[in-house]
Amino acid sequence: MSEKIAVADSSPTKGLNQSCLQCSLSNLCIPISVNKDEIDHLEDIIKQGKTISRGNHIFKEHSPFGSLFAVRSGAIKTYSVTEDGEEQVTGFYLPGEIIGLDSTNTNAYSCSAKALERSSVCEIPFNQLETLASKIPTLQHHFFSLMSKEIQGSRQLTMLLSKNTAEERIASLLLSLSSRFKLRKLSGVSFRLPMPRNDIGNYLGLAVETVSRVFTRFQKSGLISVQGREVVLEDMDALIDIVKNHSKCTKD
Amino acid sequence: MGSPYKTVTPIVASYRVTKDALGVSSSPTNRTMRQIFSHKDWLFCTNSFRYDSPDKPGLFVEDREFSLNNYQDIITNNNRNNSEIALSLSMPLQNTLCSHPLKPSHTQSSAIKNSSTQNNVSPVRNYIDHLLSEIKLVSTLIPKTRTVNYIHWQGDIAQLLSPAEMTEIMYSLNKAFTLQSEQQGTYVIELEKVPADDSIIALIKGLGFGHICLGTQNRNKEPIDFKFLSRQVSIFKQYGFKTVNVRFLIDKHESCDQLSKKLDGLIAINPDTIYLIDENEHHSVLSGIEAESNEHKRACKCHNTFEKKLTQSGYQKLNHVKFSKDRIASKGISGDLIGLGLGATSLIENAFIHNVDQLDQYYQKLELKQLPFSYGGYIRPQNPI
Repeated sequence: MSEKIAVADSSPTKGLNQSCLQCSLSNLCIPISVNKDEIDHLEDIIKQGKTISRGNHIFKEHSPFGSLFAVRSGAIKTYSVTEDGEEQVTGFYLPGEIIGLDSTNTNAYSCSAKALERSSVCEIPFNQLETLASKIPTLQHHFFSLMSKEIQGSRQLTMLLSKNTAEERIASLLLSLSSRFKLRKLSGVSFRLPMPRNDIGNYLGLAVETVSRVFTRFQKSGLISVQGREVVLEDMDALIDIVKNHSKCTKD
Repeated sequence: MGSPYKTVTPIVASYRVTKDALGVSSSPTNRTMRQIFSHKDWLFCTNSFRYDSPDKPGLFVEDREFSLNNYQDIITNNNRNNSEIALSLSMPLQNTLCSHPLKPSHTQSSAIKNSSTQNNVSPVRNYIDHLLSEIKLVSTLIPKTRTVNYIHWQGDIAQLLSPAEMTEIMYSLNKAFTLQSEQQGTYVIELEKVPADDSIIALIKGLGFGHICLGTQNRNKEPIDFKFLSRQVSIFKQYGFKTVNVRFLIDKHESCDQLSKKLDGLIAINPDTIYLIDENEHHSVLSGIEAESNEHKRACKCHNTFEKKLTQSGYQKLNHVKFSKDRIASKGISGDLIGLGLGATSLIENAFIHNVDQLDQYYQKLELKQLPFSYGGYIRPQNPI
């Protein structure tokens, strides 16, 4: 499979060069309190609308760090390669979310980012963002807020993987996707999984057969209904209970 | 074993005399250095050098001629040995920050300052901006080849700061200095109150902290919620913190028996280290002045009882206040300590340096692009010449 890096495609795709204010994801991507003048400054540095085909990379692990990427459409997975040469999925990124925050204090990207489907991203050169953020406090706060959420999420995932059962892990993932779709004003109950089951298994530290078994079990219990990648969360409260009950046991 | 609180006649030594006495190229004795390391350890979990402490420890001799240039010289001289550095960050109390009149942040460009949204800088934000300036200033004195192997966040930074602000400070430290990895370095955060929200614990771990120093909220006669504390200690350990340590405050208003029961509860939680802090120790070990009051003698007797209880429960006595299960995991600072923030203390070789204690002075100095130096001096040698 071709492994073109999307940053080589430097010219923005026609028709997608809309301003940040017009973008439907602006409330996720940029802070609410940034005024129009400040958004203009931000737009000056952002390279909008780079398209990446399914399977292609936005950046590769260990390549020189230069930019953050905001997902505009599609879905991206990040992964790193272990010493054994195995791919370890480290995250999934949906529209409105920013990739590369974990590499800001290093000279190289700490993971690779690959498109799970045809996607488009906005490239934000980091040095320019830093300079601008030092002049716009709300932007700076937003940037560090995103970074802190990324750090929290990463650690909470590590906790999840170290202690929880397969049911708890999958329930957590479904609830996380639900809340992220809701943030985009989409349905948090009925959505399409952007990633295949083997990537889910890899991410959660489960065999793909286990993932399938748990999905089947959830379906039989009436917690979810599944058709291919289309999922409906039929009983959200029960899914929340699965995750909460484990937390209680852990604390006791 | 004699009382640690020997009467000492304070000696005011001039820089030149001290320099002549110690010699420019001579090092403090091993015994003095052990004292210094012990003091650094005390420094942390007792907040002895907090900005609101009026006591200057008597074993430290202030040198009236010690200047900001001397401070800077000492740091740059020590760069030659390329030894590791420890950093400590101090945060004033919320009352102190909130009582200070707000000013527009001077770190903003003039174009931004005029914007109405930028003029409303919160007291915490104002302090952070100045702290970040201090971090940048200090970093200009330290080459990137000198690594930081110890970071300590004092006070209750986690309570005062938002997750974004905590992330920003750690990010800035990472940019300004060469920090050792999470696995190699010792990164400690003090928490006066245990966070009820697990996401804060996740963030603290994610920022690189591996050691927690908990207050046990027994500053008054209120009972300690051991069940909650035990649960949170367990969560900290699940998150992979290397050590979870607690500060046990010995309050003069409580009897030895009452305190002893509380200590039993803490021991049962199984923290890695327990610090016995006598809050009413007006004349600390560091001041070297013996207090003759009955109250203090009673405190000493309680302390001996607690010490025995701890050693019988498997805690090793590492110094007067520190009792640990694992001497190695609980090791303190090995190199120079640079204090950042209001009222912070630095200990470099045998010199100590204290930052200003008043917030307006702190802000003023940094706005003039100066380190917020207040006074400095030296550890009094055991056998003065």
